[in-house]
Amino acid sequence: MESTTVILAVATLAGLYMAWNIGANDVANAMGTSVGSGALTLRGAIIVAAIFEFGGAMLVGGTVTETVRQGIVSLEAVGGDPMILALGMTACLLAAAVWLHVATYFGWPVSTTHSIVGAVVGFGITAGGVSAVNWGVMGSIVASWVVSPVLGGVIAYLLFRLLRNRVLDDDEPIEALTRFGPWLISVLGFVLTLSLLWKGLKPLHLNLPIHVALPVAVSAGVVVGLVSIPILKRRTRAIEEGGSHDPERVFLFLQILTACFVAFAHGSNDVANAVGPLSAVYGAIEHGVSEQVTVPMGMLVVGAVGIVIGLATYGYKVMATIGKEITALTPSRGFVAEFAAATTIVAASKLGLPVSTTHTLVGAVVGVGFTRSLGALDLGVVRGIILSWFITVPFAALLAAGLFALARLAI
Amino acid sequence: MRIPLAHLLVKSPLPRIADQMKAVAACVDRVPELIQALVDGDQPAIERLARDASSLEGEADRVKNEVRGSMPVRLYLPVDRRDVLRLIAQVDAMADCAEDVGVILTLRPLTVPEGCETLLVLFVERVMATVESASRLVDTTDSLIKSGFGGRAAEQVRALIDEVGRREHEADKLQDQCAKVIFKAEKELSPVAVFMWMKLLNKLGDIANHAENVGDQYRLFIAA
Repeated sequence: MESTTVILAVATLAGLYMAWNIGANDVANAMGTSVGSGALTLRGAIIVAAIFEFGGAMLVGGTVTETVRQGIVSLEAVGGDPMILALGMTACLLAAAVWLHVATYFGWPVSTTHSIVGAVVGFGITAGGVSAVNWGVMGSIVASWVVSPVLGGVIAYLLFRLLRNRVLDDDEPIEALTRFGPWLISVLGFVLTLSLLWKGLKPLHLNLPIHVALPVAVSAGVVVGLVSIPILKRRTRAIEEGGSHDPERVFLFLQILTACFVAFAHGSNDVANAVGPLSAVYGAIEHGVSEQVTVPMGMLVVGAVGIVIGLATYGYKVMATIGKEITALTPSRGFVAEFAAATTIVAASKLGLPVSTTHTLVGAVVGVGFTRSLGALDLGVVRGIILSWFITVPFAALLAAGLFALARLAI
Repeated sequence: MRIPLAHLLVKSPLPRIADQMKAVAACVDRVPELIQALVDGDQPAIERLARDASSLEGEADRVKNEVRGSMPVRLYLPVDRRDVLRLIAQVDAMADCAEDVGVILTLRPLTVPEGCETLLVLFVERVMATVESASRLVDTTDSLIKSGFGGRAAEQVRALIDEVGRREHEADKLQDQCAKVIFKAEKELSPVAVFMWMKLLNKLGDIANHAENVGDQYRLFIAA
């Protein structure tokens, strides 16, 4: 058997394992908020995740994948040998997977994204020296890790304040929601359309410039908002006829939308963690070292399928656990947290920045907590997350460097 | 499992103060029975009720320690943690005073001066009414959290706090009337008896005072 075949097989397995891990943990965390409030059943969450993870990965996921594949480490600096690149990226996948396995075992709140980025940096330094790493790109990635949870938190804080003033504290909260809800749905439609159209996927001719994409997205938002008015009215009437005046029941319905949005955002950002290195290995073996190769669709499919399998085989357990624990996150709070996190993540995806979905969602929930609307938050988790920022990258980098050095000796 | 969200969103210790209040109320409930036994001159019943109150106070302490134990510093609460601890202390103080009422009555058997019985019973009724209001106030904690310490729930809480204050004032007035009756009878009473009566009336009044302080802590919670 040729060594390239072996490397490709190992890389595919490691990539699948990464994707499985992402599905089993990250997606489960992202969807767990909807399961906890009762907006989705476990089965519903898996179906929503399957569809929208896939969609997000296919339609918006390419940019982040490019960053992980060739943005962090300059491919020329690691030498012209495609074998080095293939070996290195395989080592990265293995290193990140091992680190995630350890972290998952101990329950540490580390990020899949941070692990793979750290591993790629470790490989880059070992293969081409410190200058092989594109420190400018790396700097903006690391900055985005701090900015994304904070931004998610700020959006969630402001949005929940607004929602409380306009809807929840109103004398007729359900009435207020039928007036205010369409605006929220409009914004959601706008963000989604803009993320699809602006610098979207070239093969589908979605790569419109901003001055075309923006008006289209605005009109799409308006249309979605208008369409939602009668639907929301019918929905609230059904709830009121059932004898309930609890606005949370309406948010339960709205939260289904943000659950889809979260799955989409996650797919657009996190599929890259498995697919980025894998497509680099594949590209190196098939085409040699070249920066021109676009991410093959087949790779994105592999990543998306791996994620869904991870969710279906293990993620449901994680979701069930989260669902039981987070009953304090009522539909209105879950809606806001998901909306804020997903918007932040999609924005990061458009900028090609790999961020952590879970950390952003944690930031958003803390933002809701700052409005005094959650019973208690364990800030030990936030401390753990900040600690993980400083530990994950060096550790994954060392592990990838070690694995790569070993593999290079063996070849 | 990596489940940071589940670890982040922990169960709030605040609604558990309602559990503490329940235990305290069970102890304070012995007070009217004690006073009735005093009016009836039934010293064996007083001894029995005082023992009851003491063991119920112990139970209230146990619940209090549990609530305090569920409030590690790393928790972020929608209200100042120190205010919560003060609230817990005020709730607890009601049970302490109730136990002390029992102790005072067993230290030195008292006889109720003529004309004081009805006033005394009425005074204790007012004290208990204040405690009852405070108890309902504590029960709103859950809905207060759900509404983010604002909106209609906060308005209801504000009304309840005012009610606690009004009832405490009523209790205060009756305490003064009782004291006047005691001093009017000072010639027939021994100085030690007068001293013990003042101690008793103060302890009873303190139960209402602490109930009012509970209300004041809630006022801090909902202050925007």
